[in-house]
Amino acid sequence: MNVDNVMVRAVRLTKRYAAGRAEKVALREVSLAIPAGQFWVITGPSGSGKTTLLGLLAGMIAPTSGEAHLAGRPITHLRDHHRALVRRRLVGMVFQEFALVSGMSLEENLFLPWVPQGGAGRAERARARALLERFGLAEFAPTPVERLSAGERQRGALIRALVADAPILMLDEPTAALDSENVRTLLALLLALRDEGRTILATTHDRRLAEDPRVDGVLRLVDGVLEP
Amino acid sequence: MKRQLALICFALGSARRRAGRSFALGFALALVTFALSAVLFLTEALRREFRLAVATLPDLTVQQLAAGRPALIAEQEQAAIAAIPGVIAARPRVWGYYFVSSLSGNFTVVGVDTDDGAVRRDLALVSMNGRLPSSNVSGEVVMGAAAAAFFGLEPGDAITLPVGRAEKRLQLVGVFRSEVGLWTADVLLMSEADAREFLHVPPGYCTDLAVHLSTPDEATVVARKIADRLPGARIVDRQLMARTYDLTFDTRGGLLGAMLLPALVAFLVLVWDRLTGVGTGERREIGVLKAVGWQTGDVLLARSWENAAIAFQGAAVGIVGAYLYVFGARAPGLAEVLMGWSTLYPALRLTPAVEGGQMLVLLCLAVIPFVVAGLVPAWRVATQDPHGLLRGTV
Amino acid sequence: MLTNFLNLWILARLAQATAATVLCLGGMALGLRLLRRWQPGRFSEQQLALERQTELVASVMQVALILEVLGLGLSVLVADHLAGGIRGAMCAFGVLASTRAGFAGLLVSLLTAVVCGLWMILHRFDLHLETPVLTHRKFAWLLPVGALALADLALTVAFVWQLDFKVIASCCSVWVDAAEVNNSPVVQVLRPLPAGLVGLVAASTATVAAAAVARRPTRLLAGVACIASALAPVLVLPAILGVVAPHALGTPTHFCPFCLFHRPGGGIGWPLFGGMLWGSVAGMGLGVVELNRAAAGDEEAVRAFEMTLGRWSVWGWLCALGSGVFPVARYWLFSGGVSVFGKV
Repeated sequence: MNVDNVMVRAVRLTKRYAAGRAEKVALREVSLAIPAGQFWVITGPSGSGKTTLLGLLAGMIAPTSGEAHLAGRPITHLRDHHRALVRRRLVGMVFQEFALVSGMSLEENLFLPWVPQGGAGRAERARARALLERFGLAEFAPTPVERLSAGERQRGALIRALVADAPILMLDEPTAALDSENVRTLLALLLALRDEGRTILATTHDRRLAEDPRVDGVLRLVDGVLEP
Repeated sequence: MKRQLALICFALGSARRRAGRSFALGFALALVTFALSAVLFLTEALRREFRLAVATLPDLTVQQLAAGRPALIAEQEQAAIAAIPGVIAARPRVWGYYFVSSLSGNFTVVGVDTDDGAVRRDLALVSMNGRLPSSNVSGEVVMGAAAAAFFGLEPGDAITLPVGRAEKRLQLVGVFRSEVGLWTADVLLMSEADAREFLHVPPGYCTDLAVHLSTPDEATVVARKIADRLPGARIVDRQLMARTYDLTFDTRGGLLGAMLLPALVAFLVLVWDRLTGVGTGERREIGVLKAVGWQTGDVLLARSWENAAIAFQGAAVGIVGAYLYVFGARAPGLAEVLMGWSTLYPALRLTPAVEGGQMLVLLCLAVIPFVVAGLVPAWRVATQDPHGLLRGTV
Repeated sequence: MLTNFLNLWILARLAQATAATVLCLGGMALGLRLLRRWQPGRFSEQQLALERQTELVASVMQVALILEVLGLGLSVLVADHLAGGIRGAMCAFGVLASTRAGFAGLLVSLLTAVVCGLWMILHRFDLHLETPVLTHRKFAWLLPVGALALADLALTVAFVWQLDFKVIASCCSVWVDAAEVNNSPVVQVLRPLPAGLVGLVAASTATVAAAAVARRPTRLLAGVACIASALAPVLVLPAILGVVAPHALGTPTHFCPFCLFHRPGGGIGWPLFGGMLWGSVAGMGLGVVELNRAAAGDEEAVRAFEMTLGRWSVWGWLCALGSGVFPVARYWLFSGGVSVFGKV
């Protein structure tokens, strides 16, 4: 594997949490390398540390030891503020719970990441309009998100992750709340994005996703350890 | 700037999404601000009114004391005082208090010589309905609005008042308007002859001497000279009266404000409690913000702006309410406390006296403590792990 | 006297000073705790929790800074308000001069606001860096901030306690006229032409130096801008007293800086002194950055931050310059070129 082509890399990532007097090890010495322009899936049972691993790779949380790299750049030793800047630029994230704010419209949710910077610019707004059209949600832009179906919210969360035009897309349990038809639709969208050159990493314990032959690679995480 | 505006817009939306809590906090702050503002506005307005009134008083007022109490002063002393360098004029004044048993209080009887051009000029500045009493016609009176209302009189009506063992008929020829009620509410203005009759002031004597100086700053020096020439006299300095009124209203306002401080503290405890108990929905929202790239500082700033928005809205409602209460409704209940006990209160028509400094005072007393009280609760929530917030595990 | 505290304006000033002091001391206590336990480069849960607490310290100090600046304005307003209760005091000057703690308190308030501002600059610079290399020294600097805030509160309370409404105070014009009569060195400084010229040159130098840094920051320029911003207020003050005040107030012997906050003075005191505070703190902040340049180890971040500080300093000094020049220019315009001092 050509090292320069690696978009997401983990080097002996370990994460420990305090649990009362004891310590819980969520991840133990996890190393991986995801090449650019590929679609990989991390699978494993509930509580195996998939979400924690994704959070570490995205720079949302800091590891206890080890390193994470995005697009060849180490992010582990950056402070919170700078990790957030790097994440904003390089990673679009879709969360298991969709992470949409109730009471706000779909459009307002799409531009939420840009509020601290003074609001979304023209480029972001144009991209958002195009993506809403592409994903069939243009008419729902002013709709409060709690009135959308699970599939519509899933696509809305995906659009928000894509508006920033980040080269890496990370999804946490993207099929958890979807029926079979929506799963097929989502898979088709992700594969199309992969074909456009994006690097995609998804965690799931859904076999429909993990066992699809079009996925480039599957990693299995059990009790915080990556199986060989 | 764009960043702050965007965060403020978001904060306003958040406050709308949590309308119930925002309204409760804003309403409580509005009440506290209303109370503080009312005290501040009324104190300032009364101070200004009294300052204006005191400015028309003579530079020095000379009274004779007997057994420690004010007594009549011989008009011939006027010449001795007028001879002091720096004194422009020393005029005798006839005035006093007239007790009315049905009121259980005093009216102020003031005798004036309306033939005197200077007197007519001064009284022309006081707005009234009707005319001044004639100097050479007995039995004419001008009353303050409150006094006329007490007697149930209108211009043209007559009233008979006991004077010693006799009675005196007075016809009301004018009523001072309520705009000047602060100074004229209990005044009965009549000719000097009628005033002497009411107050039993014999000819050759007067209540006090009004002394006008060429340089008011020399008041202390002239007062000393008057005291040398009139041992036992009491000399009242206008500047001292002005300072006394200033300090009196300041102290009363401060006392009321200090009494409101426990209410303010209780309110801040409520704010702390409300803002610390963050609901599930709110925690999830903060989890979303952090998950999509907001930093802890951004979340903290947005929460602070939300608190500030609630604070400013509540304070604005309180301030406007206080303004209407003081300058529109004439501060019922509060005015009596600030002006002190009386049996006859004037109709209070105060000129609005609101300025930037007062807003700063209210900001420091109400708004800033509110925002500060919300700081730690906001931080506690903003520093949580986004995953835990999204899933509800923290 | 205890009854002095029964005044809403005084209560507001005390509330502001108390809140600012509590925040500064709280920030200082938290900061010291963080200093003892801070272990950069380690990623234990405790270390991450400490990082989160730095956010709280920063927010607390930000609010404290706003309160300290508010306190400066409130000091002047409260003293002005009390002038009516003290014989001879025509404005804030007389009230402040009537107590031992008056001017000392105002000076300490000013110093506290300046030091708070410089700390905020250090904090913002620290945030610009990718790793928290300045966190340790940043929190160490909270010690003097906390001490000054406490001194500010103590002097404010002392000032209120010492107020005696029975004294006869001296008006500012009495103080300065007396100096005129005695031909004291103060008056030499207040002689119009050199004071005005020196002040104009000092403020302009600070502005130009800051503008140069905003365009192309170098160590030398940053150093010059810092020194210029630190010295300029001292050199500008005689110009304000000796030239700006007489022109703004229309009287050649009226040198009172506090009267510039009143309506007859056009209220120019607010933008004039506010602009000077803003410009000089931002300018001195350049020195703070330079002192920490080596420790920061990130030339790009230093450059970008110094350009921002330079811009802030320029705006502050321009505001002050404009507010100072405006009344002089206006007087000359309306008098047809006749100086307020009677000379052409």
